[in-house]
Amino acid sequence: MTWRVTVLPALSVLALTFAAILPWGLPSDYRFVLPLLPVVAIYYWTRDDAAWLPEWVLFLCGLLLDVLTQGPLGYWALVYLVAYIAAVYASRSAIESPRGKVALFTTAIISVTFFAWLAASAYFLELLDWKPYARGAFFALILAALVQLALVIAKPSKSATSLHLTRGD
Amino acid sequence: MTRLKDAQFIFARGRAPTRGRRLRPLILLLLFISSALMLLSRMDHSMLSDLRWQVASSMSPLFQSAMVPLDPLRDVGRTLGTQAGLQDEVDRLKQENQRLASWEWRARQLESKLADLEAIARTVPAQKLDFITGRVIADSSGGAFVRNVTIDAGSNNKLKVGYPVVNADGLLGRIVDIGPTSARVLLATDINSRIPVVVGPTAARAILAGDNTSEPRLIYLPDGAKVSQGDDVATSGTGGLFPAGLRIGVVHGGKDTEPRVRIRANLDHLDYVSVLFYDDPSSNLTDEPANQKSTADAAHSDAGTNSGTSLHSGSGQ
Repeated sequence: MTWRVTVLPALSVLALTFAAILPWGLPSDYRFVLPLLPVVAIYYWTRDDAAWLPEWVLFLCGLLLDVLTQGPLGYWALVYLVAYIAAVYASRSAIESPRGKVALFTTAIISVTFFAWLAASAYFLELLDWKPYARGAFFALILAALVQLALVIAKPSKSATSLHLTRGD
Repeated sequence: MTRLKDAQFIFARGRAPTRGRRLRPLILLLLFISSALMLLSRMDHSMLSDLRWQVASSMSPLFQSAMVPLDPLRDVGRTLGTQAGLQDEVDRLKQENQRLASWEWRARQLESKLADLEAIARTVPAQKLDFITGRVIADSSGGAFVRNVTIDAGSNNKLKVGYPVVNADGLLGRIVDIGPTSARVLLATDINSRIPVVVGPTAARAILAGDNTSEPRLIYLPDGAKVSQGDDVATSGTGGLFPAGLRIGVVHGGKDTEPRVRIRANLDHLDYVSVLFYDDPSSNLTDEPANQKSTADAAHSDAGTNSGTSLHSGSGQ
């Protein structure tokens, strides 16, 4: 399980960063969901205390996305760092119920998307159309829910695990 | 049971202060660097743009490799999208085919008439354009900043900066950055794109200006120019950047609103694109003869006013 906490977090963020630049054939108004997928991964891994995902890795991933998209340098690096900060604060909250966690995650994604829109608007010195950002956040939340569902289905049930541990004791 | 209670008690006390991660001071430095880089980008620092394209073009083999597993996924998506409106598409194509059959006959007539007229007028033959077809390996069209794609052909394929890029539907954009095996294509919808165009049957001249939306604007239309919805928009050839007559799209909106152009090509689903080997015909022009003439005139007048000065040529050479 060591690779899961040492290699997988950074690797998954890097892979999703690369995926964001590939020509998926999505309409340009819907493409904003792609760079938000690393944000979902950042949130997921940052909440896991054991996962190795330092902030400088996120900075480099964001910078890589800036270079590959030919957008302003530092934009996605900034957004990913803000996502990291949001995830750190979320990880400190005492909310344990599934509903509370979902609400926390939704708030984090919306906050990061709002920051991305705000930073882009500040760059152009005018308020940009917010709809592509809202669409991106919506689909990122849907995709994250689907992945979470798949993980729950794929994971062995808790009762079996605890039974095994009890026997070991 | 007592053990369990104790364990819960210890767990609660021990975990509370160290819950979650801590933010390190390093993040402040990284936030500062990101903001500073963004500010430099806003100031359009040329060193940054050159460096970033070098990094991006060096990664083109990676994108080419990534396209291999991506292809089946794209095909599935395309098939699903096609199947959804298949019957409507067949009906539309039938109608269009009937219309085009009559147009084909008319076009053949006009073509032969034009050839006759060109022969009589001894018209300079139009430049024959060679082309090369490449594949889109990266798409940067998401977000608010850019609308461009990267193709897997570059200077090794004799491409140059400025060459127009087209597909079967018409003009897409032009090459703005080039590496040995890849090139970046600035799409017509990008905020930095400006294309001289002619609009409608009156051939009103204008500039097609991208603004990062799917429908670029028509600017600098002459006063009183009649532009109506559905008018064809094609390149005018003015400035020599693009050859004349490459179709781009049709006018959308217009009477009360700002006229925009609906691009014929689907820029969201670019797969293979062709690059035209089009060099600006006026780029080979020099003003040498004019310079020589003016130099000779000046020398002649000097000789007339100052006969003691020795004449010399080549000042303009």
